[in-house]
Amino acid sequence: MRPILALAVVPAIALAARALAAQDIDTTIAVRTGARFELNSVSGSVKIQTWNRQQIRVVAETDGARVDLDASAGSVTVRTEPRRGEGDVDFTITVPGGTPLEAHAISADIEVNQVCGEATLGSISGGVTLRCANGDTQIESVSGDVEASDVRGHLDISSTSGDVDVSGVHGDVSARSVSGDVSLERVDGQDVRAETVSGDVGFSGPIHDGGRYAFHSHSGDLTIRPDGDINAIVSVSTFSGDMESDWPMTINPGGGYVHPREWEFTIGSGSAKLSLESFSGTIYLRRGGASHRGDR
Amino acid sequence: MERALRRPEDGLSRPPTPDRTAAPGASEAADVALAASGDQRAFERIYRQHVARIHSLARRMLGGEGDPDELTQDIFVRAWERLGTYRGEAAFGTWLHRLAVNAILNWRRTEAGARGRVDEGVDAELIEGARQAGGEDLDLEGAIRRLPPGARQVFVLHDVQGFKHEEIATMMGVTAGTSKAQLHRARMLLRAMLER
Amino acid sequence: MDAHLGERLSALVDGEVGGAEREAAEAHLTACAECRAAYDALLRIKRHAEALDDRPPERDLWPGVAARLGQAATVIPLAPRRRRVAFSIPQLAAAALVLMAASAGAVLLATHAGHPAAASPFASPTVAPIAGLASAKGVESYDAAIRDLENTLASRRSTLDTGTVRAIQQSLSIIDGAIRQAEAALAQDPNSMYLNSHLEHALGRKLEVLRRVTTLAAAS
Repeated sequence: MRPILALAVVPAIALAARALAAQDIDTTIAVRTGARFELNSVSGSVKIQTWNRQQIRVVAETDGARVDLDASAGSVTVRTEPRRGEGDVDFTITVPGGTPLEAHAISADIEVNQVCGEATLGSISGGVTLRCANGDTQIESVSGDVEASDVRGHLDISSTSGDVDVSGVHGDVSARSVSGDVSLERVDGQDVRAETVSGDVGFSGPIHDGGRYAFHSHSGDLTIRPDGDINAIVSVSTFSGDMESDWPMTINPGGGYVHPREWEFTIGSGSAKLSLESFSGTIYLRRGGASHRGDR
Repeated sequence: MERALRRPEDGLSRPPTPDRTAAPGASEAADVALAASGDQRAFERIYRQHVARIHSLARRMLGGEGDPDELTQDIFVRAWERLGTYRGEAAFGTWLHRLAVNAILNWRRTEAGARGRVDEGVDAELIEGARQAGGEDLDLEGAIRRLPPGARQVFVLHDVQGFKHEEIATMMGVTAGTSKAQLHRARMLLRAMLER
Repeated sequence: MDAHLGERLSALVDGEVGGAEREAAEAHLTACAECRAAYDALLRIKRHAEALDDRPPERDLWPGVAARLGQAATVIPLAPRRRRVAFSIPQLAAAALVLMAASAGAVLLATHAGHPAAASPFASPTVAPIAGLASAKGVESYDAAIRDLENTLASRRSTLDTGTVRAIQQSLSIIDGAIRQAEAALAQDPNSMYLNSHLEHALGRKLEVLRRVTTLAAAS
């Protein structure tokens, strides 16, 4: 790596909590613009927030877990090593606005507030909450709930058994759960996809000309409320479910003795593609509220 | 009102470039699954399938700066580390492609950013330099190399790789207007460099 | 108005100009040789760029990649490079781990001797390809990949905590339920495109969940 003029660089610090007492950390590192922050934790909690300084501050309250910190002017990496029987670490991290973040945990909840940069966040059983991001954003949990709001850029968010809550996005979204509900409120993108297997799907936002929108569930309901008027070819597929639409449509299920119902109808110029599938749930296509343009 | 049955869209992500290699389909899905669980031989098959495209992308985006070989290796190592995050909803090639573009742009930000904003150079000098150096044999690839970095990246992402201006704007952290302006500039420069 | 089209030339070449503006631009192109020549040249460049071939690197880069993959599996503190995250939870890495398959109610024990249980805790009744299924080949290769992952998972000493395992198994059983319903529906209407794609999609979801779990359970 080419040498970079570095401000006060803190060399690698390893704090081994061999003593019985808890070893807390409070370290502040000077970083350059665009420096990245990465955290790997096990259990406890992770809170990441922002301030106006060109520094990263790491505060950790631990009951015996070892915390390793590797810092340079271009990146700060924090890891925890749980010791037998203990392992909770509560992190409070303060970073400059826009810092690209990567944080992974096993059971800790992760909360990121107003950093407004790129973020890749994951917890296995903990929940993840992200408020404000710009750029590529990726959030996942296996059994925790995941939530993202105020995102500008591409959002990929999923939980396996938790709920997925998305609001206030300007950009493309892919949101998935298996047994949880997926809710997309005020999502403004050209390519939006939400799916779950047994949960419900909700969506509100504009349907742009030329865009692609897909909402799928197996047994859950879909409640889709596009803003204002739309131009879309709507393809609906269901096996034993129902559909209710505020737009007129001609229902022509494939004829026959026992048939899945799948049909298509056009609204306006048919420019966008809107795909609605629920195997056994009910599909609601409702006219949305007054346009929320101007929100951002 | 239409009646015709149409296959509901499954994979919404459209691959930015038309896939010139034969689509491996389900056997690649199996390789990806195996690689995600640690099978390096499966990952090597994936590598062989995609390395030409990724390396070409790196070469063109970097111009003469940096080492496309090293960057290509970085990209595949990063893909290996991140396989756990691949969903299977987009074609794997699309996912890998996007990861590569981000890695290349990030490389530029960290390596080149420290030098400060490189002014893009005076167009007339670039054109003259290209004509003298390339002579009769300057082809499109050679001309792309000579583009200033911003224009080069937008041109490669838009015309070679097929991304849209909105996508490029998000990836590069610029406005769509900047992307369009850079694209036009790149095309005009290329025209000037290539025409006698 | 501008005599020449300038930057709008590129927008025209990309088909981004519509309506009255397009008509005006085309009218100008008809009249102005300079802009027309520029339009043609830019279009040629764009087409040429689209047709550029991908060339592999001159030397084989795989050995360099392979050498670094070996490092990626272990978590090392103070590592400056980004590594794949794989943790073990000491308090749960007991010699015997009881995994309950929530849906099937089967109890499997990872034995002290280290033999994997008789069946993978994540296994489910195999999804048999259905005659007439349009993508039978696709289903078979999903099956193969699913089986591979289930076996990989079973053979590793799982170090996920029971709560997570239970959540995952519940999700898998929900997907299996969806798969069974889709199959039953497909048996009645094998030619339905929706049901075919729905089944394939459910298999894909299952693969995705298994893949994620396998990655999580990778021992360091």
